[in-house]
Amino acid sequence: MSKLHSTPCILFASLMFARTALSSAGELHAFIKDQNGQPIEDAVVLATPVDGRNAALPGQARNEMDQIGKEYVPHVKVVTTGSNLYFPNKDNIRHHVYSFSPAKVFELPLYSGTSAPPVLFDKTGLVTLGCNIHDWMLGYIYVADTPFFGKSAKDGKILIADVPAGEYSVRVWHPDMKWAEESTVRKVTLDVTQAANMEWQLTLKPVFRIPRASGSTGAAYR
Amino acid sequence: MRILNFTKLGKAFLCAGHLLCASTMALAELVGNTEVEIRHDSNINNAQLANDIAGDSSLSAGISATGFFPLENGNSLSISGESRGEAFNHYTGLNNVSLGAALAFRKKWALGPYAPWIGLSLSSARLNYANDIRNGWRHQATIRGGKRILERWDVRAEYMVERRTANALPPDQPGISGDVFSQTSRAMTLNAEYTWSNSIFLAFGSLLRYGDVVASTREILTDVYKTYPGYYVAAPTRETAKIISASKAIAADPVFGPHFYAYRMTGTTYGLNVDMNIAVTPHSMLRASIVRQLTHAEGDNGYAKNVATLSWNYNF
Repeated sequence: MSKLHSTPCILFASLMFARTALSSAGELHAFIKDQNGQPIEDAVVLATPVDGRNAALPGQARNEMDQIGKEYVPHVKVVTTGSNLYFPNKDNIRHHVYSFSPAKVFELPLYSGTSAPPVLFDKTGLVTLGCNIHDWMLGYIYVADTPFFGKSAKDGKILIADVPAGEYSVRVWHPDMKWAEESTVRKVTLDVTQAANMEWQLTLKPVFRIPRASGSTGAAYR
Repeated sequence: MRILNFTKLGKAFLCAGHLLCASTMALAELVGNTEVEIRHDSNINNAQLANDIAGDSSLSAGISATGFFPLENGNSLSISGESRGEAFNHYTGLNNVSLGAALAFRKKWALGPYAPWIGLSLSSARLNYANDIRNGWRHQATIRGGKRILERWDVRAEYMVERRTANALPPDQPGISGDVFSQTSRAMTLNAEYTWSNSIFLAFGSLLRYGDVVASTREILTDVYKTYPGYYVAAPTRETAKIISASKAIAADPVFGPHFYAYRMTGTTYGLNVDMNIAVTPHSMLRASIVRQLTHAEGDNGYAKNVATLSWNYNF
């Protein structure tokens, strides 16, 4: 019986130990807002160790950029350099995925379902996606050189957890930001005692997306 | 309104339906579209004289379905069917329903929205009016092309040949056909669309059309001249004579009143239009359009009109 009673105590001690161990990693809380003070969704915050640790990253096991309802889902996806990304087509029609971006030029000609092979993103940078059938479809893949990143939800908030203590260069990217990503770079030192809170106010530029709805049948299809 | 007899078109649609079903199995894309439109035409009868000009408003609604088949190498094929009805405020004889089908092919020369493209389409529609003198078929062959030249500018051009066939009416004037509403024309349009914001699009267009036009004017066939005391001579007015001499066909047009005649002439139409399109939702568009058209017909005849349109379009 005593052994049985001691089990919860051991579990509790283990959890406490784990917590203590995890607390050796810091947390970065960020809030991203626009020029009007409104929270921004799909902003990406990246923390890169200043000393170069973790600069070389193994690719993530499996990542996906879905196509649902003739849109890329999610609109913005962050992967690390060296990642393979699958493009499952969950619509019951065919899509034709392509990118002209210097970070990755590729094309997945007309396909449906999950028949398209994965695409290796081996170069850091931004990859803008389009669909050759549905011109309004627009998606972004940010290929990051650090594993410490996060993407803002609708409330503009981002939590990057389990970041080893140290000095970091932190920057923000958003598909609609007016100024270059480099203008957002800040230095922060993360320690185990308290989370770092950072806030950015971005100036967004107007976005000119090709309309999905059209004045006449089929006009949006080319 | 006369009961529609769409036997031939029905067969065509059955074939199209079979093709659509088969294509759906082959992962074709089916796009539906509905549209409701309010339209005002300041000169719906294309009249030249101020006393004859009749303006009217109409409410129309249409639904269409398009089977879209993406092909390899940026090509695509589409087949569509459309049904539409239009009701006029005053001239109810113009109330009409139409049922049509179209086949289109498009070629795109590269990837992405900036790639130049060209399209060919053939369409036919049956139009039946409340007053059946205009009943007939409309056939169109169109070649169009375009290119997005800048992020905010998209341009396109179109050349269309149109043939309308209607039942020939009995001749009203000796030696002049009564087949007024059978018309042939060619039209070229140039359009540029400017993206004002993420949801507002402005379109500017121009039209050059050459071919048959139909103008309906009041029957003022004679002026009475007093030649000398006690004697009078009846003769066509100068305007009427001009119209008659330039007409290839003339028939009574009771739609606009008991004394109206429709005249088919050859004319050139110049048009300009400005549209504002507002993407209300990702699937719907609100459009306001203003069109100005001037037509110069043979025999120094001509007319002008303004057309204002407000429409709501929903794709699904």
